[in-house]
Amino acid sequence: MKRTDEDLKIASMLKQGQKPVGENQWFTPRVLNRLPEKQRGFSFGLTLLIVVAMVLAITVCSLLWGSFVVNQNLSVITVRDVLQFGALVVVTIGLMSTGVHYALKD
Amino acid sequence: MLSRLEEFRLISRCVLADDRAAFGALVEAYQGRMRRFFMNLTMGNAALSDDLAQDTFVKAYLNLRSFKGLAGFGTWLYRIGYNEFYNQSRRIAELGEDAITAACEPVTNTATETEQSIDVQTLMRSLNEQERVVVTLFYLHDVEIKKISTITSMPVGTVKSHLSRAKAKMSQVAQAEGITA
Repeated sequence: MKRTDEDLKIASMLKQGQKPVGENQWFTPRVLNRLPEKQRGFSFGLTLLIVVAMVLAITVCSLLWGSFVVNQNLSVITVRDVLQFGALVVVTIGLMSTGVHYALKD
Repeated sequence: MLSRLEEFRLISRCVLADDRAAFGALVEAYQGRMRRFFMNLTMGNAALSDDLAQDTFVKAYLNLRSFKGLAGFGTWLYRIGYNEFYNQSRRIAELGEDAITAACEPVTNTATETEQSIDVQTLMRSLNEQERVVVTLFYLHDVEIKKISTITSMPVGTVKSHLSRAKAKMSQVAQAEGITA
């Protein structure tokens, strides 16, 4: 239904005359307090999975860095070395940023 | 006002990780609208409005997994709020006439209350509950008729007839009380 001029006039009059809703800074904390206790189930499982995956990824990444440094022949740098180094840097930065993100989240 | 994408992101965080901060952000964004909605329906009873709005948000949180996202979060909230108001009215009606009068008794502050707001309350008082809901959503919250029909589970035709009856009643009261726009 299209709003007629009369509708707009009524709306404007009612809006101008409605009682103002006062600021209530405690409203949101009160609602949050009334929510049921946080369920550990899914959230806790997810966090645990992320932590285990992170530990595994950091271990594998450290081993790869170790192997890269040990096998490195500084007199000859091949394309393969550059690619390996680049891949390791990308994976390490990715891991670090994910870790920092989760650490700062809560 | 949250964008649809931001709203979706917050709801996903609530559903997937039980993220209370995300739900807090949703409450922050919609509390004004919901409190105003109940203020209009209870004719200015701020305490009752806040209680109803809180109940609405708690119910919304508990049923967030059933939110399909088809009608928009705001419309879904209005629907829960309308049901809360309807249940509250039924509970009050069971207690008797005195309880209804007491519950809808506005907390008046003669020093700050403007003549215009008294006029609006007089007009709203002339309407029955269904008409007040429809008028509040259509005129004060700019909700379309189709959405009002979704919120109240009334057919579109019924919403329209409630609106036209409400208009006629308000104009009659306005004439009798000498209220001008």
